[in-house]
Amino acid sequence: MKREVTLTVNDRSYTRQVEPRLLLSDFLRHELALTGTHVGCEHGICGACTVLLDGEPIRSCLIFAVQADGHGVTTVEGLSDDPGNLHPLQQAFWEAHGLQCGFCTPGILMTLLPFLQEHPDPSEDEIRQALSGNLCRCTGYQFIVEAARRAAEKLHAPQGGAA
Amino acid sequence: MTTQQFGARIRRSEDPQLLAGQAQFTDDVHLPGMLHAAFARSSYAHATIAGVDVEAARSLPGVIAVFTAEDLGDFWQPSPLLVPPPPAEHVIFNERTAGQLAKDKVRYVGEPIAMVVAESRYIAEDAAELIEVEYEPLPAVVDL
Repeated sequence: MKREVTLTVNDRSYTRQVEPRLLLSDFLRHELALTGTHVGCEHGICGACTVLLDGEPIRSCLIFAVQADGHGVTTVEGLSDDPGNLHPLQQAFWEAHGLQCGFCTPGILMTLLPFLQEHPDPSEDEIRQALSGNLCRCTGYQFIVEAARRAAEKLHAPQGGAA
Repeated sequence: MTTQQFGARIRRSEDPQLLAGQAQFTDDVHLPGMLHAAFARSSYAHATIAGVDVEAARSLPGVIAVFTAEDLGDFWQPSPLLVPPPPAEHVIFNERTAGQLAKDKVRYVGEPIAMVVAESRYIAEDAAELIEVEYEPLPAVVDL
């Protein structure tokens, strides 16, 4: 019934025995205890479960762990899991008050990471478009957009600021 | 005149943990020996419950217990009315609150009928699907 899978998550390799029906979100949260990735709607709408699969944002609630066998996954803990040493993207959200309850935030961060790499100077419209698949009940999105702008500046500052 | 806190932009102290995925929302909590619950719920808006068969659910490996209103025995009671309505002249208020699990009758689609407790959420939901409820549907008011 169980199958062996090997995934690289945040640059670490993990081999586990899993049921084929185990969702990637549940694998990350319960098998690996990486609970930064949250599960909101469980059917792909809200975006809270967004992680990167080989660098591309995907809904971890909509794929099985076995489908990620042999692939690389990046979660919010891969940006930084150390509150004392945040990634510039996380730092921008802190400075711009880009979160309230924080439940949607990891999904938003993981959506923004590849977006900001591809769009180093996004307009407000482009940011809103990029985040159209991430729902937030608390903030009204205004400061999320500001945080994304602030992050773009941090990540592409002339003096460095690697992504 | 200098501003210290009033008007100053203050960064929240909880943000670093939330941003680094280190916060503990309820479902993030892992305790040793923790169990998980799932519910079998009514598919009818209004019906009498003729019977609930939980045997298949109870015997599923990994299921710790299955509870129905009957199992609660004398502990089953309508939930308390926490906020009574203000008294209004000529208004008769009939107090009706739900019990913890449906007893004898279901009054809305989704009303919990049985609770499964199991070792994992997946097993709990498997077991909830195995619970068979015999309904005698009754008319339901679904519009004005």
